[in-house]
Amino acid sequence: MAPLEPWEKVLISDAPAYLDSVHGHIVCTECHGGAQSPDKETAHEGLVANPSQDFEKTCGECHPDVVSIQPGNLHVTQAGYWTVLDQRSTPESHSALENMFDNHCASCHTTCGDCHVSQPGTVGGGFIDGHVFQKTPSMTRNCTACHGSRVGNEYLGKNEGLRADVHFREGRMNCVNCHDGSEMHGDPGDCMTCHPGGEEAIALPPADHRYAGVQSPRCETCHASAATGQDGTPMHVVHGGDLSCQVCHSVSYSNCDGCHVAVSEKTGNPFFSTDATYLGLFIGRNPRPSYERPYAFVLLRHVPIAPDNFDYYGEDLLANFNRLPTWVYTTPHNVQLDTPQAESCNACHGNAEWFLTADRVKPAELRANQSVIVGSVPAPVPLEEETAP
Amino acid sequence: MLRTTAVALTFLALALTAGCGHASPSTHPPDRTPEGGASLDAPSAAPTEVEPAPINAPNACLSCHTDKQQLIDTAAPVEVAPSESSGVG
Ligand code: HEC
Ligand code: HEC
Ligand code: HEC
Ligand code: HEC
Ligand code: HEC
Ligand code: HEC
Ligand code: HEC
Ligand code: HEC
Repeated sequence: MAPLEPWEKVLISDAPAYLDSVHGHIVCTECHGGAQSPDKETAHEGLVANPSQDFEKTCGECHPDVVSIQPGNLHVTQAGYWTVLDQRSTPESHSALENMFDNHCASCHTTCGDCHVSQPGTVGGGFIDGHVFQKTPSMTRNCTACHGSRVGNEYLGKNEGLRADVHFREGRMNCVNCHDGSEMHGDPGDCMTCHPGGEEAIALPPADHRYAGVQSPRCETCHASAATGQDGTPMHVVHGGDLSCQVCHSVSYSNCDGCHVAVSEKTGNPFFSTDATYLGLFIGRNPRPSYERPYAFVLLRHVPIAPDNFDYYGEDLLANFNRLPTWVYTTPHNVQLDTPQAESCNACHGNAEWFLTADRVKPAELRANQSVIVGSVPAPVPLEEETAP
Repeated sequence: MLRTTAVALTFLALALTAGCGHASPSTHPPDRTPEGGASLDAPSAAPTEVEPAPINAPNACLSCHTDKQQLIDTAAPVEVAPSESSGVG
C-alpha cells in the first residue's frame, strides 16, 4: 500500500456514504471538540484528534457492551508490558521506567479508531475508508500496521525462504478469523459455558499478559480430532497434551537480542537500536505452565531484553533481571502441515538441533533461563515404534 | 483584537449550530447477543433507525474535509525527521 498523501489521510472521500451511516449523523464537534469555523486554525482550537482515546465518553453510550470490558483489554491497558517490567525491576525504578515507557512504548496504545476508523499512528494514520466506521478491521492496514515485523512477516511468509502460514496460504484466513471481536475487546472468555455459575468464572481477573487467562484463540476449537488423536495421526496419539501444537507445526521464527532505547539529542525524538535478529526454532520447557497452557514443552523465542536496555533512563533499572527468562513462551504464526522437526519421531527425538540446551544460551543469561533450558533431549525412540506419521 | 473577534465568531458559530444534528440519544445499542443467548445487559433488539437528524448547513468541518483542494492548500508541511532507530523494531 503506497503511503497516503497528507490530504488523503483526512479526506471524507464519499460524503453521502459516511453521512448515511449511524456515526455520520453525529456532528463532528461532538466527538472531536474544536469549533465551527471556515478558518483551519480556529476550527482546530481544542481539537481532539483521537476521540476514541476517551471511549467511555464518545462510544460508551451506544456500545456499552464493548466499552464495559475495556479494563481487561491489553490493547488499551498495555498491562502486559508492565507485568514483565515490574517483575524484572524494583519499585524504586518504577518512575524512571514510566518515563521510558511514555517515550518508547505508549505509541502502541490502541484506540477503537486504530482498528475501526484509521490506520494507526505508527504508519502515519489516515482513514481506512473516508471515515466510515469499519466493522471488520483490515489485516494489513490495521493489525499488521502494528504487528508487522514479527507476526505479520511470519503469517504472510515474508521471512526469506519460509512459507506463509497454512491458514493464509490455503485457508485464505486473516487475523480476525481467529481473533474475533470479543477477544479483541478484552472479553475474558465465555467461562460460563464450562462453569455454569462457578466461582472461577466470576473471579477471573483481567488478563495482565498476552499468555495469561483463557487460551484464545486455540487450535483445538477448529481441529478437535487432531487434538484428541482421533484423526489417526500417531504423533497426535503419543503427544496429545504434553507438547504445544506449534512444537510440531511451526517453522523457524525471528528472535531478537537486546533493544537499547534513548532520546535523540538532535531531534528530541525517541529511538531504539536492536542487536542481532536471527531465525530459529527452539523447543524448551514451558515457562508459564497453567491450567490453560499445561504443556511440558513449548516453543521459546528470545525477546529483545538485556540488563542494560534502559540505561539511558537510569542505572540498573532492571535490578531483578534474572527473575524471568529471556527465552519466552511463543506461538509463531507460521503453521505448516509438514515441518522438518516432525518429519518422523527421530527427526526430533535424539536431535539436539531443535532444543534450547544450555550451550545455546548466552552465559550471562543462564540464570534467567534455568527454568526453560532442556537438560537432556528426549532419547531416540526404538525403530519399531517409529511408524510413518 | 483579532483574537477577541475570533472568539466572538466562534461563540456565534457555536450558538448557531448548537443543538443541530446531535444523534438521537434514544439509539439502541447494536445487537451483540453472544452465542448461546446469554444476554449481556444490552437489550438484544435490533438497532432502531437513528432519527434522520439533518446534517445542518454550516458544518465547516465537513465542508473542508470533503474538499480535496482545500485540504491540499491547508495541509501542514510534513516535517521529515529521519529516524535514528536501527535494527528490527
Ligand atoms: C462518533 C464520533 C466521531 C464523529 C461524530 C466524527 N469523528 Fe472523526 N474520528 C473519530 C474516530 C474514532 C477517529 C479515529 C481516531 C481515533 O482513534 O480516535 C476519527 C478520526 C478523524 C480524522 C483523522 C483521520 C486520520 O487518521 O488522520 C479526521 C480528519 C476526522 N476524524 C474528521 C471528522 C469530521 C470532519 C467529522 C464530521 C463530519 C468527524 N470526524 C466526525 C470519531 C468521530
Ligand atoms: C449514537 C450512538 C453511537 C455512537 C456514539 C457510536 N456508535 Fe458505533 N454504532 C452505532 C450503531 C447503532 C451501530 C450499528 C450500525 C448498523 O448495524 O448499521 C454502530 C456500529 C458500529 C460499528 C460496526 C460498524 C458496522 O458497519 O457494522 C463499529 C466498529 C462502531 N460502531 C464503533 C464505534 C466507535 C469506535 C464509537 C466511538 C468513537 C462509536 N461507534 C460511537 C451507534 C453508535
Ligand atoms: C496501534 C497498534 C495495534 C493495532 C492496530 C493492533 N494491535 Fe494487537 N497489540 C498491540 C500491542 C501494543 C499489544 C500488546 C499489549 C500488551 O501486551 O500489553 C497487542 C496485543 C495483541 C494480542 C495479544 C493480547 C490479546 O489481547 O490477546 C493479540 C492477539 C493482538 N494484539 C492481535 C491484534 C489483531 C488481530 C489486530 C487487528 C484486528 C491488532 N492486534 C491491532 C498493538 C496493536
Ligand atoms: C489460525 C488462527 C490464527 C490466525 C489466523 C492468527 N492468529 Fe494470532 N494467535 C493465534 C493463537 C492460537 C495464539 C495464541 C493464543 C493464546 O495462547 O492465548 C495467537 C496469538 C497472537 C498474539 C499474541 C502472541 C504474540 O505472538 O505476541 C498476537 C499479537 C497475534 N496472535 C496477532 C495476530 C495477527 C496480527 C494476525 C493476522 C496477521 C493473527 N494473529 C492471525 C491464532 C491465530
Ligand atoms: C485490536 C482491534 C480492535 C480494537 C482496539 C477495537 N475493536 Fe471493535 N472489533 C474488532 C474486531 C476484530 C471485531 C469483529 C469484526 C467482525 O466480526 O467482522 C470488532 C467489532 C466491533 C463492533 C461490531 C460488533 C458487531 O458484532 O456488530 C463494534 C460496535 C466495535 N467493534 C466497537 C469497538 C469499540 C467501541 C472499541 C473501543 C472501545 C473497539 N471496538 C476497539 C477489533 C477491535
Ligand atoms: C478458526 C479456526 C482455526 C483455528 C483456530 C486453527 N485452524 Fe488450522 N486450519 C483451519 C482451516 C480452515 C484450515 C484449512 C483447511 C484446509 O484447507 O485444508 C486449517 C489448516 C490447518 C493445517 C493444515 C491441514 C492440512 O490438512 O493441510 C494445520 C496443520 C493446522 N491448521 C494447524 C493448526 C494449528 C497448530 C492451530 C493453532 C495454532 C490452528 N490450526 C488453528 C482452521 C483453524
Ligand atoms: C509430535 C508432533 C505433533 C504435535 C504435538 C501435533 N501435531 Fe498435528 N500433525 C503432526 C504430523 C506428523 C501430522 C501429519 C503430517 C502429514 O500428514 O504429513 C499432523 C497433522 C495435523 C493436521 C492435519 C491432519 C488432520 O488431522 O486434520 C492437523 C489439522 C493438525 N496436525 C493439527 C494439530 C493440532 C491442532 C495440534 C495441537 C493440539 C497438533 N496438530 C499437535 C504432528 C504433530
Ligand atoms: C518435535 C519433537 C517431537 C516429535 C516429532 C516426537 N516427540 Fe516424542 N517427545 C518429545 C519431547 C520433547 C518429549 C519429552 C516430553 C515430556 O517429558 O513430557 C517426548 C517424549 C516422548 C515419549 C515419552 C518418553 C519419556 O521418557 O517420557 C515417548 C514414548 C515419545 N515421545 C514417543 C514419540 C513417538 C513414538 C513419536 C513419533 C510418532 C514422537 N515421540 C515424536 C518430542 C517429540
